[in-house]
Amino acid sequence: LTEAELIAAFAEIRAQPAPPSGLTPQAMLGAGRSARRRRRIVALAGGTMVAAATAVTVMIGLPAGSDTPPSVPIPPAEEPLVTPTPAITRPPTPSPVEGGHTPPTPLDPTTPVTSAPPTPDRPATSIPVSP
Amino acid sequence: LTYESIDKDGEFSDYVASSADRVRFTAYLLCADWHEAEDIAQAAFVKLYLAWDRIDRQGSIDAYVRKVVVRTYLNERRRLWRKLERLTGTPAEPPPQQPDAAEQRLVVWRALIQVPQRQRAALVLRYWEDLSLLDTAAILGCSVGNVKSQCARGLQTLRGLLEGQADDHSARVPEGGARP
Repeated sequence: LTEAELIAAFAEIRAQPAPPSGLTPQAMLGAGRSARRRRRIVALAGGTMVAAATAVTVMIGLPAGSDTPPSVPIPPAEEPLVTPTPAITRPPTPSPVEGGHTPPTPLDPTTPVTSAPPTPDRPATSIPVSP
Repeated sequence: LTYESIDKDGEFSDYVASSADRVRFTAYLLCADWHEAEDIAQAAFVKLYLAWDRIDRQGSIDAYVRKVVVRTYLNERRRLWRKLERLTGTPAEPPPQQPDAAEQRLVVWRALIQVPQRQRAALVLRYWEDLSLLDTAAILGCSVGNVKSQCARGLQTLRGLLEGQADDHSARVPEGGARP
């Protein structure tokens, strides 16, 4: 069998009568339109489902995202025990030195510096007086 | 309906009217069954309708339809089950032929439908549709070398099948024509 014989065989088969065809233009148009309609419906349904799933996920995920326990009312604290102590006068802070050297950060002058009150196991600090 | 869609439908109807028989026959050469050929042609026309706006009109409609026909045929055969959906009535059986007139054609046809599907697709595209190697490769989704080898192997398979049929025939009908 050569290529020419195969081509001739195809032509012979083509020359034989074929059964009547149902492929009319009207039938193909109808099939194409219904396929397009199906495709649009599927796309619309898919988009709706995605939107609904996104909305549900957002609604579920928002409260679940904050894991903090429910707030409990805090009872009012007791009055702090304040021991009156004399305020220590601080020397004036020196002016910044030019030349790139950064002076130490001064303490907040509004905060009073108090020494810790004496406790039974820790006596008050006593500064020895030099003779 | 807009004027544009009416024009589109008119063009599509003209194309279907002019090419339906040819497309169906190509599908028939591939699958060797008129019912299945009509299903394949129908699927091709539906896909063509959906893609009508995207396809370049410069002579590529035929190429698109050929590609859809061949790939639908190969994919349908690959599936374990096939969804047979007929939008039109069942085609009538062809009228019976005279046995002596169709003898040679029948022999070749019987051999052709036993050729593996990819080889048969390559043979139909090359020798019936008269496509180039490049176009056949584009439709089958393979290389040009693969098309060459598929065609050569297909012809070789056909020759082997025809020789086998001739041997069977001579074995059944010995010299002198007297049947055992």
